[in-house]
Amino acid sequence: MAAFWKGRLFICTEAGGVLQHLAISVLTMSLDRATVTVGQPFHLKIHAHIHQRISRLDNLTLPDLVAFTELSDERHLTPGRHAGTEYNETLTLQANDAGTISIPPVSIDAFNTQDPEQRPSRFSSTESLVVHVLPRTRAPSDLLPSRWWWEMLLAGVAGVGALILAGWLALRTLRHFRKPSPAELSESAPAPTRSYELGQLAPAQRLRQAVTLLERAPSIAQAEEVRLALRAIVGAQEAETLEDVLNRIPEPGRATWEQALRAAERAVFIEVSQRPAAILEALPYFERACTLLEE
Amino acid sequence: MPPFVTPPAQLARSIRSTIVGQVGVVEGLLLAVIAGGHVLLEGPPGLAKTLACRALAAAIGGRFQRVQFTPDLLPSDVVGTRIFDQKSGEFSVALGPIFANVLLADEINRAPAKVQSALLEAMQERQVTIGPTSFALPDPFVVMATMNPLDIDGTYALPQAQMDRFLLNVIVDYPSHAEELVILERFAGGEPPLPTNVVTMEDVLAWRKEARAIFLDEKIKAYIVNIVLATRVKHRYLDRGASPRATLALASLARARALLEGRDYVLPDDVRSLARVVLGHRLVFNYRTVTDQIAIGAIVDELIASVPVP
Repeated sequence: MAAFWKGRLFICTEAGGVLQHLAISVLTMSLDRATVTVGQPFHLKIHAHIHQRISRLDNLTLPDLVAFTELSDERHLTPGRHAGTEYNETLTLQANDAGTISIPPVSIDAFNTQDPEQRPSRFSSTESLVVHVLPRTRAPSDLLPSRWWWEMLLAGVAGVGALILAGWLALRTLRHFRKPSPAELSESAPAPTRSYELGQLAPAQRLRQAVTLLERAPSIAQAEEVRLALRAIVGAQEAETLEDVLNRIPEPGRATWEQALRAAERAVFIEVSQRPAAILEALPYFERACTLLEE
Repeated sequence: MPPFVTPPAQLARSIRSTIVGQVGVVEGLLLAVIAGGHVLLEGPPGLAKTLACRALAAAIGGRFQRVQFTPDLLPSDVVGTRIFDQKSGEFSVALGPIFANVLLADEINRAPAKVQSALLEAMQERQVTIGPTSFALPDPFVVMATMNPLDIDGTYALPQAQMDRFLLNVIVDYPSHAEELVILERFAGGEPPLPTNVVTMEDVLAWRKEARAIFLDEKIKAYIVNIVLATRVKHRYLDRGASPRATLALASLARARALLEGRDYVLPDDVRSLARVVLGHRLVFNYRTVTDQIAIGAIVDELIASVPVP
């Protein structure tokens, strides 16, 4: 009778729970980094493969982690691909002090179903892990000024920038309203010195002045000025070609602008000996564009 | 304009009578013929890549050969081989399909590297060596290769040095709704007849001569160089920029485009519109394009747009 009861007695653990009947083929423990600094989080991962399908795992004894602060502990029991259960646990730890710390193996107590007599066993990961904890170094971000200082600096720079922009816009607007003097229009200075002055004019005035100068003294440099003035009027950006610009010119007057722009491109990029003739051929198109703009 | 019999624009029109849409493909093929280079068409199946090549070859009227590249293809299947004649006791040479004016290398990435190398050597040197004898390839000699980027199983990626041999790489895209309707109409009674002998080989050679004489302004030259140099700056997604071969390719293609449009001078538009097809396949991108899920075309466009137009 005593022998009968001995075989059926529940074996209790220290915590009072009952040992499970398990066959554990894998029990490993790993670190995502072997060297950390004090306060730097790292992960300790525990993995077990259990032959049985289970919904909970009791009696897993974690190693002594007193040298660390435990930031989080995630446990997952998932069915194995073919059979059994996969147990994964990830502990996020932080070392409290510098030094070399050994983490002893993890263990699971259970009745070993692979044992013919199904005796209680202690399954254990094979070896201890070692973490090298370095003293805390000052992070590069600590050396930088605080966020408040950055914000103050940015606010200052933005304020100065806004003042400069406002001043420039005011100056530009005043100059746009200034009419060019007759002396300016009749001036036959070479094109490179004109280009700056033309840049200060309103687009229509700029084109009219460039075309007038081109009619008076046809030159390649002046043809380039006309092309730049035309591009400015149709709002061509620095990286835009003629085709880009033509795609967005609205229908009223589109043909006039297209002809003028194409004529300007031809006058500027055609073979050098053919440019004088190309400029003369382009003048009527430029004139038409000026008229359209002035209307 | 030049004294050639048929202008290149007429060839373009005749090809468009067969191919619906695919403006980039038709233009790319014509530019490759005019500039004397080779073209790589990349796109999913069913987008008329092969048909476009066949239509061009038929319209040119030269000798056309098509080689379907497969994993078991051998270099001798392309370039030719020596055969021992038992009667005469001597070797005779059997020239391969590469001896053609237009060679269509269909699905070029399905053949192993040794076949690709044999072909690409011929593309560069324009001659083939079989045994102890070198044979010059016909002039003009244009390779039009197609590549399907979707089925990568059982393919051999073209090495960068070989990609560089292609003057331009045209990415073939799906037709629009309207174009697809026209395709339905045009192909309702089967494949329409291909345009035949629209131009002659002499016309093609005359175009080439004329294209080389097209004027390229100093500002346009600087624009071309600036675009190529923009690919060599340190960039998050680029490991290597384009070589001087790309500079030469961009200049010759810009001249060819000017000729195609009936101009005897190059415009910034010629350069800008071709920069993507010339540079896209010559740049070496790094893994970040995959991890950041960045489209390569967008990077090339951004680089080109960073250069001011003269």
